[in-house]
Amino acid sequence: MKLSMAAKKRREGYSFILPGFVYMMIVLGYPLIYNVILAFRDVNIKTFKAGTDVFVGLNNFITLLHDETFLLVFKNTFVFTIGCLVFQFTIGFIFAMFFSKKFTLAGPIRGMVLVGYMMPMSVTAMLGKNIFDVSSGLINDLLMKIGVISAPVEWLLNGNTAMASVIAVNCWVGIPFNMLLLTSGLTGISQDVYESAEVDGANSFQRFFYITLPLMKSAIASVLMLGFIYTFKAFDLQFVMTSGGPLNATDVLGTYSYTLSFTQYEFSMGSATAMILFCCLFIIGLFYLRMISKEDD
Amino acid sequence: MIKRKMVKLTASMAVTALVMASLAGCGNAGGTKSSDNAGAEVAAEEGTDAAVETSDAPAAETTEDGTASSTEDIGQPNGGAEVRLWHYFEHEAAALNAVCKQYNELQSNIYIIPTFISREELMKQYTIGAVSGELPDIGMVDSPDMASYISLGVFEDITQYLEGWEDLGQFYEGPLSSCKDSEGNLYGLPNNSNCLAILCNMDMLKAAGFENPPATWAEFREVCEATSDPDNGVYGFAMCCISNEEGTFQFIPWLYGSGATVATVDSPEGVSSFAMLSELVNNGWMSKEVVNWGQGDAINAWVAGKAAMLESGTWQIANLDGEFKDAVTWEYQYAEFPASDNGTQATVIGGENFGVCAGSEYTAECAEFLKFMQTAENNAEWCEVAGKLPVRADAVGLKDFWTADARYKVFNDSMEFSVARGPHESWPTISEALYKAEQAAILGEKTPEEAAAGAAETIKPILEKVPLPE
Repeated sequence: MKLSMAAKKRREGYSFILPGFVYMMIVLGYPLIYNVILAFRDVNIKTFKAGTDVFVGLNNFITLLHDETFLLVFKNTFVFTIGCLVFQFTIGFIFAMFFSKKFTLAGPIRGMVLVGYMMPMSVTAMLGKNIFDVSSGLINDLLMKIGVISAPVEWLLNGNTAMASVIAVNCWVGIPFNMLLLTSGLTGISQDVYESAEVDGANSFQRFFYITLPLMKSAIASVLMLGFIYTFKAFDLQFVMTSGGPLNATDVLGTYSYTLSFTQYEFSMGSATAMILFCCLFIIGLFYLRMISKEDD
Repeated sequence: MIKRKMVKLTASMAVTALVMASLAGCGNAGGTKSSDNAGAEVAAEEGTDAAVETSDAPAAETTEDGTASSTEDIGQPNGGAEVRLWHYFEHEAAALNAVCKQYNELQSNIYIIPTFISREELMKQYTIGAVSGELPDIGMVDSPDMASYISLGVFEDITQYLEGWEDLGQFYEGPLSSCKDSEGNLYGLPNNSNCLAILCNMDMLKAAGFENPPATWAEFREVCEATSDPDNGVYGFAMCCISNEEGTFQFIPWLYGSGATVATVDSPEGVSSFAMLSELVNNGWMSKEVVNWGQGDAINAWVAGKAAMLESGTWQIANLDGEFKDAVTWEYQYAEFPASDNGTQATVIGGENFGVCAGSEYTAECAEFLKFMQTAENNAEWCEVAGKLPVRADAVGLKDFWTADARYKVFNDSMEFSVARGPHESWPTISEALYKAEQAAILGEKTPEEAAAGAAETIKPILEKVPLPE
């Protein structure tokens, strides 16, 4: 049987996809499926060795929803994500606009801003821990020297300030990330559009709101969506900088899932937490895909 | 148009992969080995093998997660089967290597290869290994964690290999019980013990008018008050109240010293232990930062002259003789934990156990090695080198440093009123309830009564099902 040209091409295409598909199924698919199975069973320290775990339906999820710590952690995750997104996007956008201007040393300075993004998160977290230290931290020292505060602020000892500190450190990484993506969006806008707007008498405010923002819509959506996903599944920053403390004030779904599985040996509860994390991101992901396909149409 | 489709496709794939990775990264924690961890294990194993096979490269091989000992440290391969031993002894690694070398040269059935892995990582690897079966042959574990790992099936029942070993009767019951399951089967042997005492900067105490360390909680409060100068960052007392097992470890002497136990944490005595710690912070006698301090951070504060007294462990004597020797320019003295207002005195037992891991092909040989490592002579020798307390009664008489050295003597004497943590398979949950309550009281998030009640709410249902041993 002779294959048509189109069928041949399609088959060729599949053969290119196959290695990636197999890789994804092994590395991501298997743990994902295993996780789903675990989340609906009662695997813990008592049932693990004996293999006496049974199917418990939604019990793990119901237990979590009645667990005060989980509810706090769930709230923390959203506070952390939204807090980070607001600051890193706004500042990242300002930086992107600023560095898109041609001025002396714009390139090297932009490169330096990227240092935060290039550092391993665990190193950043250690730095954050030291910078926000009460007695020997740089922030307190600086603020006291310039007279903003008279006594050291207990940054990592108070729930609210600890969350603010963690958000600040994450923004240090997030700002360059946002800046980088938004800069590429900005460079895609033709200068001709600005020039003709200027000829028509548009001021800079109008140029920003009626040219830059609409033309950057898709880049902004991508940055916010990817930023949300990256931030929502945070783990290493909280794990190293605060261990989720004080009293779970900076615990997020990722760290809580780890604690349940590796410290408490409540494997199914840990998996259920990870499932909730996954579902939140899945919904956001679907929303994003729908948005870009609408745009495409 | 094509370009746009490409962008859309790439974006879709990126989002899908990111979302999936979020679950793959966290969710398989208890279920299966993640790719990262698999890599880490392979790396650790490769490091081990490389160190053994390359006899002309004696330097220790450091991998991402473990440091295998070199052939110089543990002796040339003796032709026996390679047996992997994982431990988290950092300062004591040389002493452990020496024991392994001695055994490797003594027989040729097995060739022990010790590998250092950081404590956190090691604990994680055991949990993952319980699922994947990727465990070493011999594993070291912090004594209160042993019960959980026995329940998870990390360790092999070696009772049959230890039955009839007359030395077993010489082991102290406390440390030995941490190697047993609820039916009394043995899964390993205790290696060393330690406990906590109060380390005093006598220059500061004397300057404040105290010639001796405090013997009661009342005296302790007086010393704290007289030596604290919070405006200059100097406090009467420093301890570790971090949110992990170390925090619980350092809290137990206060809890049991008050006359309460883990089971009666919400009794008036238990409440008084939380009240004591919150009083220390509220009065400016102890820094609130202790909630972020590990035991290493706490001793650093004491060495920096920021605290007059420190809750210090046996192993820290070695640090005082070593890395801190030049920094500590003042006279210091160890003292037993002060007795509470009702006269009760307590401290806590720490220590490590070694067990044979499930799935080892050389269980009998490994059990023999454990017996060798824990003979009275070897236990005494090892404890002297590593700065620990022995786990068997007949080892005490073989050396005199724990009675001749005034510092060790304090710890040795303290063992008489020291209490063990657990053993209990749900100890991690009990421990978390304790350190969270301790932190809540210290940070002022809860009153001592509320903190104690909060801990009891978690602990009591667990102990109703499986009580702690008497």
